[in-house]
Amino acid sequence: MKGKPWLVLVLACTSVGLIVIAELAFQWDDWRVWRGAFPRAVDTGGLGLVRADVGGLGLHLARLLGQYLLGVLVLFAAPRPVRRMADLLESGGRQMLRYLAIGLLIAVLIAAVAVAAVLSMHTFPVPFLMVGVFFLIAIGGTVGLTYALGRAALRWGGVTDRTPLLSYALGALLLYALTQVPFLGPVVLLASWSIGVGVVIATRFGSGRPWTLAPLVEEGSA
Amino acid sequence: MKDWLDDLLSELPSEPVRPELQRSLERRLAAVRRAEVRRRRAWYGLRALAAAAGVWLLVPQLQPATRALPPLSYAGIGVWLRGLAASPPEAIAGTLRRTLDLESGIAGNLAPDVAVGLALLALPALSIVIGLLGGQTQREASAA
Repeated sequence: MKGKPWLVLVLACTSVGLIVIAELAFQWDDWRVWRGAFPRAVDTGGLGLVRADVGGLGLHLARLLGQYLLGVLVLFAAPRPVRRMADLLESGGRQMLRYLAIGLLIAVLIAAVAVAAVLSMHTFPVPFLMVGVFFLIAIGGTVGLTYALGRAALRWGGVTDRTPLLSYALGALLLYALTQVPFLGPVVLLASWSIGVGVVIATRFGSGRPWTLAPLVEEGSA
Repeated sequence: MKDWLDDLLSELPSEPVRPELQRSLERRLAAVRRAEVRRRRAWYGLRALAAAAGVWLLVPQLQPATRALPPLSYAGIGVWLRGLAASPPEAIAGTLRRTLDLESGIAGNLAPDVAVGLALLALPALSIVIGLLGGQTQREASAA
């Protein structure tokens, strides 16, 4: 099948456009239902670019770059786990829903354990530790999701001679653009974090080994 | 070489299969499956009920619990870092004292409903996660 790299270019340009529109046309601090989805665009009569907006767009660029570099560090630190997670994430929408459910339920479990741990003096630091671990898990899983997204997009465009860094860059751009869309953005962020946590837990921190108590049973019966 | 017992067995009349045996087996199997489905549905219902009860117990307690937490701000962290740089032992001792106060404050403010609500919410969540992870392991094993 002949590749269509222009599809990937269109996707990347659409993502950049989405970020620009969200920055120039929307205003979180002065949003009202009756003024529509993009109140600032209504006020200015379009996408008026003033000096302060350049700073805002620069901030988006810096955030995107920061997320990309963090992801690159994770890719180099744990390439096999990321590959394993990405392969699983690309295996279908049902699997994605499964990971979303696992991530949300793990968050509930961690919250419950954290609150219960607060009640005892000797387990009081546990919640802080758990929040840190949960955060790291979410970062690792989101990197896997971002890489899978970019790889799938490149494959869709028929770009086969891709490097993992390009796949990750495209995925980071797509995911970042989606998280900037008003109202949809927080939902996408929550979903991507939950899916990330879910896939990390399901692959047992990317190792691919199953969660089982069999070693304990064998030890007991021996 | 055939044994005399084999000859004897071959000459014995075979027991006729009852004509209704297959039908009764199918009926029994269907009953077992129906019971299994009923048991699974009851378990799902119980988990949903427990989770709903947990949420119902926890939601009214969230506001008092969050009131006990100190407000987090960059300015507050900056003040703490400056204190840490100026006098590390004093800053660490102060943080420990505040942490212990916070712990006793939260533990004192939390009602018993919270513990029950947490258990009711956490146990179904754990059960579902184990089910989801176990299902995945089985699928991966069958795929391999």
